[in-house]
Amino acid sequence: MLKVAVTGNIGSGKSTVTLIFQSLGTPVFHADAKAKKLYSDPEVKKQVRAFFGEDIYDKNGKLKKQELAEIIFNDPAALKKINNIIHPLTLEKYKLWLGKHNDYTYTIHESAILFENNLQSHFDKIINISAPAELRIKRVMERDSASFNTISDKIKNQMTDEKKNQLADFVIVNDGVQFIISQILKIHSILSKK
Amino acid sequence: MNITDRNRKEALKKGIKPKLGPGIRKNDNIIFIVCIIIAALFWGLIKLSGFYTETYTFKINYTHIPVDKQLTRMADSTLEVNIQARGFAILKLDIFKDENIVNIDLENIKVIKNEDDNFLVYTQELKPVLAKKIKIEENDITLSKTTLGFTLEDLYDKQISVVEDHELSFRQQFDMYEAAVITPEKVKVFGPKEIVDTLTHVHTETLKLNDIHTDKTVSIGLVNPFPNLLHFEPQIVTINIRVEKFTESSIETAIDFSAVKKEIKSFPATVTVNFKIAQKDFNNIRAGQFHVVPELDGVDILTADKVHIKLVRKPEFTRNAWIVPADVEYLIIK
Repeated sequence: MLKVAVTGNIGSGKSTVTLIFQSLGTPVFHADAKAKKLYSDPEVKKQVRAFFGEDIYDKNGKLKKQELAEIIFNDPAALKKINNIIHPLTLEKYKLWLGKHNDYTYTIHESAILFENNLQSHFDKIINISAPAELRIKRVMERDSASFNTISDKIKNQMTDEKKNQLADFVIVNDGVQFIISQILKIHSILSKK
Repeated sequence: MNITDRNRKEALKKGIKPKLGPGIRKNDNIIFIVCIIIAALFWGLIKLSGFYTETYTFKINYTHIPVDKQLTRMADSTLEVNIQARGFAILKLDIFKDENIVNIDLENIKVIKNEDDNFLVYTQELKPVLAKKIKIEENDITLSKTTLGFTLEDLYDKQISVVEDHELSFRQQFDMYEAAVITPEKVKVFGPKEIVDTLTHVHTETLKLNDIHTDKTVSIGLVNPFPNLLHFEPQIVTINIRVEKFTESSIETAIDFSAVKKEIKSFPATVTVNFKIAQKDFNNIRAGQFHVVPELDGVDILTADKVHIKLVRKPEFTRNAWIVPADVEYLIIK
């Protein structure tokens, strides 16, 4: 079974692409969603509180996402720490998940910051979803009701599309002009033969 | 006594006949003219006190012709009015030799049906009207005819719709809430059958209003394409315009692929319907009120890369609706 990763910068259309792969019958592991859930895990909570303080969770034990995001955005050490807590556990969950999907020719792992976290070595093939920055900003503004500056700052912290395209095995261009399904079907066809 | 008078007296004493001066000749002329004027005046008064007979010709014009009739022939198109009166009375007449018209109001005169479509009115009934019009005693008038004949033929009629024409300009954010209501919606048109049969509707005059931000009720006339041949009843209609303040809104709704006899997954599965809505209806909007489907006409669903999405149902109180995205990609699930 091929372990395929789908990555792409914010607003590139990863969710749509993985949804199409799912519709084609390919199992998809949503790493970012799984990572978010891990913050509720007691062991994770303990480690996060130890580093970021008790106040990083509210009185109901819910993570203060906005505050954590602001901290790790401005503090590379804090970012490294949180990655060290979350990513090994996410990979662990992924491996368990893979064990349940051995029968498939290939499976998909969806993650926004694959290259940034040097996780590429865990996968056989990598698909990058590429879209012009302006379009990505517009999509996120509509989706999250976020400001232009907030999204621009996030994009600046991510690896450029060009760099990711060079590192990826496949590139799906989701620029609103080219059909994405036909691109996905081609990749699906290649991966299904392996 | 001046020198001239003295000289004249001296001359008379001497038996010499004096020559008349220019002043004396002038006075005589004036006296002569005055006498002539007085004589003329007396002559005029004597003449005006005499009886005279004058004849005036009046053109006949019928008014208030029944809406279901048309005047097709006038057996008598003029009426001669003889006036016998003292010169003084004739002088005061409000009348000219030409361009005299007598209007005969068919609603207020006894109309006698003669035979078939021929009718007549007695001129005797016109006397008071004529006397009043030309400011003379009725007894001083004699008319050349006792009756006036005319032909009224039945008009063909049918009901036709009224179509309003308007050039409306609304204040920002305001618009018509619903189509303008015309009262009555239909009017009766009377006229020759060959013309009436060609009519399906009649337009109102163009209603021009600016900066509209409240309800409007306006009475407006109809545009008669053949004023001499057609008659509309009523001739004026009322247009009611309901005005509301509008806002833009949007709602996300799923695309219904049930018309395609295959399992289809579109990307995205939902579309956003943007529309304008009156503020008063804003809280009544639900996603289920909108129905969006793929446009399948001329599309081979098996080979196409994308399909156009169309809105087939929306609440009546929304308008200017458009879909984003207008096209979606899809997979046929095997």
